[in-house]
Amino acid sequence: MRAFLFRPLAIILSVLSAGCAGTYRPVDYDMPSIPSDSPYAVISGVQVTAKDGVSNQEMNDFDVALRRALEHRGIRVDLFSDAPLLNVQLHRLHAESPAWYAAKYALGISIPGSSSNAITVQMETWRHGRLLKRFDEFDDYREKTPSWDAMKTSVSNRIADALFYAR
Amino acid sequence: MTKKHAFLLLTHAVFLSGCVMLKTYEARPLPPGIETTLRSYQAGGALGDAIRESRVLAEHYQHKLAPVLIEMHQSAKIVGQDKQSRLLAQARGQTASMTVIAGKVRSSWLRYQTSIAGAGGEKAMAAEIGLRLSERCLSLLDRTRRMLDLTEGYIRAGVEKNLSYLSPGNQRQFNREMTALDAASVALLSEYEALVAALQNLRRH
Repeated sequence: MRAFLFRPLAIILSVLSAGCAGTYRPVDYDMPSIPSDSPYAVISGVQVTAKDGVSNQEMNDFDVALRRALEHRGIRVDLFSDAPLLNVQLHRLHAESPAWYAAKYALGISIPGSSSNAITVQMETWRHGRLLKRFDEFDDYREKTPSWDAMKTSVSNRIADALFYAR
Repeated sequence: MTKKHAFLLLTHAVFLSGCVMLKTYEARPLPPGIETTLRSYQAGGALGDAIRESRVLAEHYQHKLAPVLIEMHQSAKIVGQDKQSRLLAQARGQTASMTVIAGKVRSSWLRYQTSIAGAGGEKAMAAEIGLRLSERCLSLLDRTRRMLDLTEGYIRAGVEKNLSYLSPGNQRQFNREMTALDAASVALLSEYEALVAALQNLRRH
């Protein structure tokens, strides 16, 4: 009797929740240019380093995404200036295997709480070899999304935003 | 029904009901009369610029950012990711442009401070309050940005059914940020009151 009741219920709930499953797509918005008197209106470079679990290709991808996010906010990179240097350290916690991703994609469902990409970030600014500011908001920050592309965009946007709003 | 079934049912139920204890506050509007007082104050030179910039900042907060934040607070309970994402993008755009205005307010009060160099009393007091106002506004906007990032995390988790995001740690962080944001907005509003009082003092002398 119980199985008779609960199986249809489980199926209905699964269909309902699978029906509205998908990948989150953020809405684009206009971003004004950073004021020129802001401390990070100009930076003298972007350094992306990785602790472990991040391949060179992924590091380069992230570097490109970060530079694009900085450009979108009007933050200029001038190698020969006296401006601070942005240092970002990535630490990959978990990467989704392609086989698992393909299986999920083939089934067309999203499994709640399933494995995905996870990352932690450490963000600092340096000047003349001296630590200027450590952005501690990223200390207990863990981004976890199914796709690496979506994740690198959202993490680089957050880093560029932190520079935009920093005082 | 096995334990596995029970767990599956429970996780689905949690998602469909969206039962996460998140505490949100409504954005606080400026006290009435602040805008009109700032508009009616006649002054020239650096002080006039500084007051005009401060008024533009107040108007941006009152008519552009606060309504979006209020709507976000009211629609927080509704399961409608499209609407929430749209509000989120609006709030982000308004926060960013308000940051630019706050930077202008800061530099205009700095200009006023250098123009009255040496003068004490009411003038120095007004400049000090103006600078503090811009600092508080900038920190409020930084808080708002962090709150919006966390909100996006929750919207994303809802769309992608990412149960691991609904952890007590994230919930604590969200509630902590929200309380800090409310305190920061109270600080900004009280600074505006102080500015109006200082300007009235200045007019009397």
